[in-house]
Amino acid sequence: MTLFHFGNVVALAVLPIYFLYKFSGLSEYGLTKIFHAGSIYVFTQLCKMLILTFFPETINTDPADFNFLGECLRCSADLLDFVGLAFVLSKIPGKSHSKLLTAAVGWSSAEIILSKGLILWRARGAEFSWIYTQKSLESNILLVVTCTVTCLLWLFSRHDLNRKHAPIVTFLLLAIAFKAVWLDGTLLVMGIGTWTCLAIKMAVSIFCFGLPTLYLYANMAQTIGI
Amino acid sequence: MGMLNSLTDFIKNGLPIIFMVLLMCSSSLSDTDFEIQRMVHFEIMGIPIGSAGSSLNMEARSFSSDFNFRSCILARIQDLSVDLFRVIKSKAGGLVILMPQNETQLSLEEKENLFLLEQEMLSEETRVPIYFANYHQNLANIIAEIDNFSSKMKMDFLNQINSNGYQVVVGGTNAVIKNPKISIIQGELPTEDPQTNKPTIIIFSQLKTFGVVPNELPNLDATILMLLIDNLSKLFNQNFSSKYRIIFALHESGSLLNFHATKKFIEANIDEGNVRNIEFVVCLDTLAENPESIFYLHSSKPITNPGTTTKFFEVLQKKAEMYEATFDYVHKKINLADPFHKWNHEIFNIKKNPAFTLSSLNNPLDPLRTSFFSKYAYSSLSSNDHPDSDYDSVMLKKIQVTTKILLEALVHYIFNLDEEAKDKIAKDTLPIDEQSIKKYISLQSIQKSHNIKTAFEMFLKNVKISYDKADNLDPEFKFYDQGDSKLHIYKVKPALFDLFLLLIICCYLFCLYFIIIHFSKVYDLIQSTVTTNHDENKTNGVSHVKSKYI
Repeated sequence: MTLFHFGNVVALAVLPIYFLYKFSGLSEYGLTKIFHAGSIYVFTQLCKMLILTFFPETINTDPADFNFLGECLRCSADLLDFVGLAFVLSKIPGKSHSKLLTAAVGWSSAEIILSKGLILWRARGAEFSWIYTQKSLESNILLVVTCTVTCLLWLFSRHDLNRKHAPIVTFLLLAIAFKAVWLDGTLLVMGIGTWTCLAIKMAVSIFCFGLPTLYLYANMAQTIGI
Repeated sequence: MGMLNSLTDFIKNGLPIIFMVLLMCSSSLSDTDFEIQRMVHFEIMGIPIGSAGSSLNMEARSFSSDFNFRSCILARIQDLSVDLFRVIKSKAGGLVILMPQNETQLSLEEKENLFLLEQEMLSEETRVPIYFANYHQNLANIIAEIDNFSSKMKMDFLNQINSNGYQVVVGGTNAVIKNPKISIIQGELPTEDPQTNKPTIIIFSQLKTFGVVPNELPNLDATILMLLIDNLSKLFNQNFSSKYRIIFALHESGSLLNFHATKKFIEANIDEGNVRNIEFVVCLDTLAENPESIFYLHSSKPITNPGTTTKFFEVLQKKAEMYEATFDYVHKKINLADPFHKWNHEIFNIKKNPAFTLSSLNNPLDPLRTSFFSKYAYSSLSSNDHPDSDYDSVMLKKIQVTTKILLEALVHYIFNLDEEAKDKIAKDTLPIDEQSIKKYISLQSIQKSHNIKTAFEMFLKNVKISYDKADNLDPEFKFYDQGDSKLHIYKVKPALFDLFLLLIICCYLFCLYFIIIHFSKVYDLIQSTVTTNHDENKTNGVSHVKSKYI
């Protein structure tokens, strides 16, 4: 029965990415570019680990004990993810929607497998815990955020970006990069339960990051005619 | 660039391997692990006793719910009764018993019930694995939750899906211990007198190395024996002339092991001729466990005739009166057909040696004799009769009084002194205070620690440790590996819950599928607002240009 639960949580974590790959027309282009994006994710993480070793030991692993400075430092290391993702984007030719989707799907697949894979594997164990379902839902949120970031980075790299929109793009990128500080910090201070936290994170990712980015992207697409 | 490509290729190819290695390293961990001990398991004279099962991997259940051989019952010891235990033994697949946090939690009735339950557990072998867990709040909470769940078996559908279950996992062992042995330690009081054919008094006691739980029981008899050794050796060192040779011996086979090592002691000492001219053998058995101020001399021969036993009994009675205690006499003939001896002195009597047992118990079947919970007899006394007194101090007092009676009686019997001198010795030179009692109260098996050997060597001469070994082909006793085990309790959900979760996940994924399929519509909608804005901008721009040129 525990294998059944493992199947459930894996389906919850993986199928949304598969749907995105299958039904957005990406499958027509093959998996090569997606694998490339995933490999660059792994390389970026290795670089990040190297950099994190130079940081002072302010990073606290205990989630109940929120360390503002430590989180800030960690988030600034996360900026390296943006560099990696921008590199992925630069390696994929063309300027269609699929370019962005390829990068986002490749990146988030690798991220979900490597960061959530081990935790989800434990769902096979005899012990039941809601944490596995929550981690799966978190990886769904991660997918939305990765798509948004890819979009924003592409917009950021465009020279023909509307000048009015440039500060918004930068602001959104920074807001996403330091999400762990301001969003998690606020939720922790408010003392909200895990499930409500997940719902709020999901709502923030869709309505505060996703939809505004989609609007900016549509605007750009309109301008360059894709 | 080429280097980067080869690096990405390496990561791409190596990733599945790295991932597989990581997966293998990961294991499922549980938050709820408890230290437990398997119920004792041994075999004496071909009769197995205790719990024969060891490993458990079953669903946790309360005894008040329906259970079968695939369920492990989790219960507090005070909730179990003898009848319930019999039902569990025959129907359930395992039993985990939670010990009480402290004795004061238990009512008098519960304590009495506990003694009966313990006797039932030690009466025969059980196929079912039975474990004892020391009190732990988390385990108590889990038991309360299981009890609560079973009381609401007929709850609504949604609650039944979401209810928590528990899986109990124990990987215990039940291997037979090879070459089992029972230790006997003996020594005699040193005398200056070279005369060796003096009559001998043997003071014999046992160390109870296990009860229903494979742990050392409160060994109050051994404590009294050590106090006697300690104090008598002081007098012997002061050169008081003794009429007797005094031998002390301590063996590790109590009534549960049918005093098996006694035969070995008799063979090695009396039969071999090392000890001759025995005045009497005093066996100490459960002298201080009963809090009441009454003692019994158990003998298999009536003590109506004048003899050594009668003489010593009279001394004991006289000394007991001084401490407001009574000494009674119980005569019980030996049943030669029964291979199980009621008292230790019977084995000496069968070999034609004068012997008797001193005990605070009247009945050899009294549960206090083999009880792991014998201290509870004191706690019930203190909670009812003396609510303010600490039961430990009541117990220490009892040990003190018992030792004094025995010691004074022995001094009276063995020394060639006039009455006044004997009384003076008893009063002045034999102080038995709490400190000296505490020094000997937690004695451990000779096979585990050296504290008994060190004490014997300090006060006695000719100290010898011998072992009663079981026969290889037809062992009279067998011990099984108890070991400390770990109890893992996992929270599990019913199968129905995962089906229900699957249904919800399917709905959620179906919604996502729809959103992805129809995302172009959302995009078109957003683009249409963008287009409107663009058009407005353009129109505004044109009108602006127009106004500029007109």
